[in-house]
Amino acid sequence: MRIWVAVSIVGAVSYAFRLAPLLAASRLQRMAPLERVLRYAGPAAMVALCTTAVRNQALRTPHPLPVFAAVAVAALLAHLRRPLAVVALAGMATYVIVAAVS
Amino acid sequence: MTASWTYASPPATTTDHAAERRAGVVAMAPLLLAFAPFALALGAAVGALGAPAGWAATGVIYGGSAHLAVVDLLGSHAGLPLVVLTGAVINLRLLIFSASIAPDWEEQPLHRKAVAALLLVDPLWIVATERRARSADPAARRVHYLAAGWLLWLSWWTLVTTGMLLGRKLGTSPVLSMAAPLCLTGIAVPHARSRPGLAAVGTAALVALLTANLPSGTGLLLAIAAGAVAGAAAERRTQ
Repeated sequence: MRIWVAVSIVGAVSYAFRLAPLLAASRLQRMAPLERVLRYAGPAAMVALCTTAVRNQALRTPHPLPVFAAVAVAALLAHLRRPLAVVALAGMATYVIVAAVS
Repeated sequence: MTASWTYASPPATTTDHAAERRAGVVAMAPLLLAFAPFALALGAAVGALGAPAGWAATGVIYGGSAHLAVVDLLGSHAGLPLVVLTGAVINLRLLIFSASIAPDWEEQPLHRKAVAALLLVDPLWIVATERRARSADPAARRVHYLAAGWLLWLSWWTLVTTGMLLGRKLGTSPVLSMAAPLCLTGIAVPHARSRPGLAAVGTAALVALLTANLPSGTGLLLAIAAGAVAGAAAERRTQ
């Protein structure tokens, strides 16, 4: 019962977070400074998630060099406008190669 | 600010629903690959908890980080207030995600907003943000969003359930664990092309590193807020 209560409350709160801005969209748009901030919230969130994931992955391995090498290759290919699948696969290949030689 | 590199789906000038649905599916596919190891690992943790509510949380909470945190805390018999607060704080970022996609759903009826809200989670928001940067048609973006969203929703349930059933038989390959951060890198880097974009992503990365040890996703929230404010301030300075 306790688990059901916890899951239900967290679920309800999470859904409220998702729904509330959609219901207040017109009010959000009239706030120009807020709109400007929200425009950059997206990229900021992606990078924050990415940084946290890379950090955690580096901490999990005894030698973090393969992690950083993989991310560096992925970043370079992304900057060169390669498709996302190519970026991810090249990064993973780099990880395997660097892990094998280091 | 726009993401200027070629992504999976081409820009649309009219709302071709079938093409947009295909594009949404194609856009979500690499992210599914990236998040699959996490979903399987989450399923294994749900299986270890051994409670149907833990499995139901796959759709009720529908956020991998919060779901995993809730399962972990429940498994270690943490108090209910702590479990609820942790799950809620981790999912607080959904408020920001929803606010950023809200303009596309402004004129829509309540039931469609309800469905859009139901599907919203990190990978779908990433797909929606990229589509928004390359399409000026909100109807096209909505079709794209729903196709990608339903694919993710069904796949997430399938993967978590598979992880639950396979349990500890699943290993966690380090190289597969790299898939998510590499995909995020691939999506985030192009946003650094403009000065405001660079300010946003640079600040977010720095704050994320500095606040990494803060509990319950608060560091992530601080990084998002700091990056967003830095980007907005840089844009204002360039105007």
